Amino acid sequence: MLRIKDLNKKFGSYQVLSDINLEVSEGSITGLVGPNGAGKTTLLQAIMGITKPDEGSITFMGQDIQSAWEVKNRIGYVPDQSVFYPGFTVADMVRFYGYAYATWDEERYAELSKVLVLPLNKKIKSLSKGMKAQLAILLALSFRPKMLILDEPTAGLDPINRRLLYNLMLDEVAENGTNVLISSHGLAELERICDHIVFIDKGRILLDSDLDSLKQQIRKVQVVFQGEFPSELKGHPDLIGLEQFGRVYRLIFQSDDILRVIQQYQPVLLEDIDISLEEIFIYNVRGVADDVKFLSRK
Amino acid sequence: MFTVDPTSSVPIYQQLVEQVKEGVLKGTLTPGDRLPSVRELATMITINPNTIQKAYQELERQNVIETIRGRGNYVARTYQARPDEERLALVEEMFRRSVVEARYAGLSSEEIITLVKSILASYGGRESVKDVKD
Repeated sequence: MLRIKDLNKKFGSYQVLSDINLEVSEGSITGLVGPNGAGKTTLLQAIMGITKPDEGSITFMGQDIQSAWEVKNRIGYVPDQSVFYPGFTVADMVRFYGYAYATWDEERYAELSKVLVLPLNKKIKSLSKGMKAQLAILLALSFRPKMLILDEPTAGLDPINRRLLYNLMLDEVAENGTNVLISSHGLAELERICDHIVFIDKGRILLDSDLDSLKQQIRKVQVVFQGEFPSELKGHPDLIGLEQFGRVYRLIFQSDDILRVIQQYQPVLLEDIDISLEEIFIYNVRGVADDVKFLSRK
Repeated sequence: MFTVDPTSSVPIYQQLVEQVKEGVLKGTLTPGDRLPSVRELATMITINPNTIQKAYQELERQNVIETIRGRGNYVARTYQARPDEERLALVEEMFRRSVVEARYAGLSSEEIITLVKSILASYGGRESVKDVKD
């Protein structure tokens, strides 16, 4: 449905996005994850045509997004910062969207505004951050989008409103098969709602995987060796993370080769432990290097 | 019912499959009961609808539930336990782990068997899932 090919973008001499290739397939909820400054917002802005890429192409529903306004108008975009006119009232903004989007659905808006109750006569500039985020999602859902692009939509929301927003989004996906591309630092929440995860760091895609298979590929085990920690494991390329508590080592890795090596040493204890998306993220970004340094310092 | 732990290495859809099966065994779900729709369950527990769809498909494949198009998903009235090899291996593995834990907890073989019997009894002493029917 959305296809990004060989996307490159520089700000001056700084490479913000390099060789981004990404596909969001129909009916999928894809989570875009990365540290601050990784290029997430720039990537989402490039999709929306707000930032012009230096190289590469972005197609949505088979058409080039830069030139085809009709298709871009089917994307509901919630930016990380409010872009509404501060002097407008909420009611003005609703009317504005009604004019701007050919697919605006008054019935859907009425239905949603029963759940997301906003003060219609208040000016945008006097709304709280959370209210602006709610208005953005309300407007984006009211024109029956084919795709939602959400840039940290829950930042600044309290837990109740956060859940409400996610549930509205899930309801939309369940009812209309809408695609979602969402960036967030709330990894525990992404783990519930996404079926696909993309890690991005320093403008590059580090990992692009189905969430279920990601969690099966990357394993975390707890091991107690009979003797010393095997030296052949120390620099192993598939080892992503390593922690030590006394004689217990916790290894995070993504191949069966490491497991074979561990078994060769006939460990006293070897057991699988659960690994969260947050851990996978931290180890992917920070890498094993820091842990190894930490270990060798002792 | 239906609580999931997203950080578990057991995929969410698998957790849902297990919970429905457990519900049927315990009798909290009885044959003919309607399960929440994909849309309802997605917003009830804040989980991706595709994941719930996957769980329901798997449950249907295993004949635990029946899907009637346009009407919903129902706990099957005609469940036949099919001991396929894959599932038997899984059951054995789970027992094996439990036995190791039990041994470490200091239980004798006798005590382990008694424990298993009391767990079976807590499910109403039914001999098979089929007996849940009425």
